[in-house]
Amino acid sequence: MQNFKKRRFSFENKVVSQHMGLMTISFLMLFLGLWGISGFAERAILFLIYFNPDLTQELFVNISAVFVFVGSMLLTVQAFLVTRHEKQLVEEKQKLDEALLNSIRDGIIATDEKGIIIFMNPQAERSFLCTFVECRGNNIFDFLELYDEKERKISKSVHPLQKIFFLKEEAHPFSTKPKEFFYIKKEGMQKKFPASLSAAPVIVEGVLRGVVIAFRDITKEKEIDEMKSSFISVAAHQLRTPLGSIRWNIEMLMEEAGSSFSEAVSSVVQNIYETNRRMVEMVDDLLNISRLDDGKIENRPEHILIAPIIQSVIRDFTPEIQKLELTTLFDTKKYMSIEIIVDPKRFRDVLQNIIGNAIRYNTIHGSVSINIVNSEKEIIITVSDTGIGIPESEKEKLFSRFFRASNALLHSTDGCGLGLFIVKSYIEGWGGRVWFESVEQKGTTFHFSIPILK
Amino acid sequence: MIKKTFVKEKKILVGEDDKNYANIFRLKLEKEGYVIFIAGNGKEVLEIAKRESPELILLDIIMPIQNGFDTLKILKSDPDLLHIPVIMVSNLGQDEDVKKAQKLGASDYLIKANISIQEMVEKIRGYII
Repeated sequence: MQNFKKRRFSFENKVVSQHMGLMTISFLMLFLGLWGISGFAERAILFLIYFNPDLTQELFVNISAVFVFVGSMLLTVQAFLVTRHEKQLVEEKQKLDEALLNSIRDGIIATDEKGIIIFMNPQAERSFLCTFVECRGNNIFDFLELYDEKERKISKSVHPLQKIFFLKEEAHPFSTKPKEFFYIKKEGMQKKFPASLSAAPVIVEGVLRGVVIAFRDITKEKEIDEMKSSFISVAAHQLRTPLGSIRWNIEMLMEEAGSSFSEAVSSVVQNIYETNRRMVEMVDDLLNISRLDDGKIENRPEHILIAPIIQSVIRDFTPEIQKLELTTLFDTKKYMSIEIIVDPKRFRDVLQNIIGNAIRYNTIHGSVSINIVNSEKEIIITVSDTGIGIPESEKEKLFSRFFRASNALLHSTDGCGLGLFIVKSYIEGWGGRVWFESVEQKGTTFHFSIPILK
Repeated sequence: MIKKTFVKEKKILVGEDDKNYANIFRLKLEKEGYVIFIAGNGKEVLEIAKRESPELILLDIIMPIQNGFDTLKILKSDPDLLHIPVIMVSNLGQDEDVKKAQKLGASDYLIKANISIQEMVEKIRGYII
């Protein structure tokens, strides 16, 4: 409390001193008034005793002094009352400011324009296991050690606060992005803690007067994130295990006895196989979305040939293609030599979603055609179908998560609306773009581009 | 005929605790002409690997007694076994898992639910000529 009072801003004190000045003037006027009143008393007595008309003029002067005295008395009283009231207001404001700063759950540190610590709130004191008195006067760059997400120390030259002090009046507030954090520790402290950080320059009349740094300890949030991540990983494993087993068993069944199945049995087995595959896709989508949310999707680009992957994806959809008696138009030989540097797993996911939609939302005897345009800067893959199309009013929402077009919902209740969201996130992550044209009841053409890395 | 006899001599050791998967591995790979050894945990994998010197090891990750990662680590630090290619075949498929397996010396990583049994056989052929 004592310390806090010492670090009050002088702004409130200025108000008080203005009134103190007013009081001083009032006292001067009071002195003049007293001088006048004593003169008046002296001359009034002389006037009454001698009834000397020569004294009349002086008497009037002294009557004026009496008025000055009364006026100054009133001013003095008023100034005193105002000053006392202002003092009370300032004290109340200080108490409120103190309560506000104490109640903030984020740690707050303020420095002067040179980076010397001039303020810490109690949360900052708790996080750094020290009192303000102990930390006051330290340079923020020596005091606040920052480490990146891999716990490597960030040097002073690339310290995020450096820019604010360096650019001074031109400096912009700095803030960690969502999911971004630093490990923080005080010089000499044993343990680091993860925290989101923001800092803003304090500029008064165009001059940098200091920097305010706010941080939030996100240890708990990180623990919950890790638990969520581990839960999703375990859940995905537990779900995939029986699904994978069903898949391989059906494949073995088809291989061993498929030729002896009647048409009806064969169709039932294919339905089981297809349903199972969709379940696997759903588990993968949920897993991917969770990874995207956590910012943990990794990109491992490799040189790959595009055509064999497209061919394999088309092969995966054989049951649906047969069911709708679709024609697939893809000239494997024509595009066989086209290479691209991209993460093969994610690239396959993108194709599986786009080609899968073109097949699933097609109409009987329809077609799906796939073409590739290879330019110097990018490769554009186009997938056209003769399917149900996308309603005009829903085109904008198509890439939103969990969105499924109304006609797609009527066509099939399967799917969770995550596929195109994932597709867009991956493609944009590679620096490419995805777009489409669609006419309801006629078909849709999806295009996506991937820049050529050199 | 000669070719078939040659293929039959190729041994594959499968570290797999799930009986359904173990059964499918045996059915399919024996049909392809390989000699199959099934181990239900990591310790058994090491024992059979030392005894049989297989041409290839297929290794699940989540197994009792000793998991696939620990087993892989031992396999790759044993001078007698480190030459044997190991394909991780698991339903764990997060980037960290794949990275960890690569770092420990796995030759490949397959997610069971995401590949067909035939694709797996083709992968195996790439390691056993």
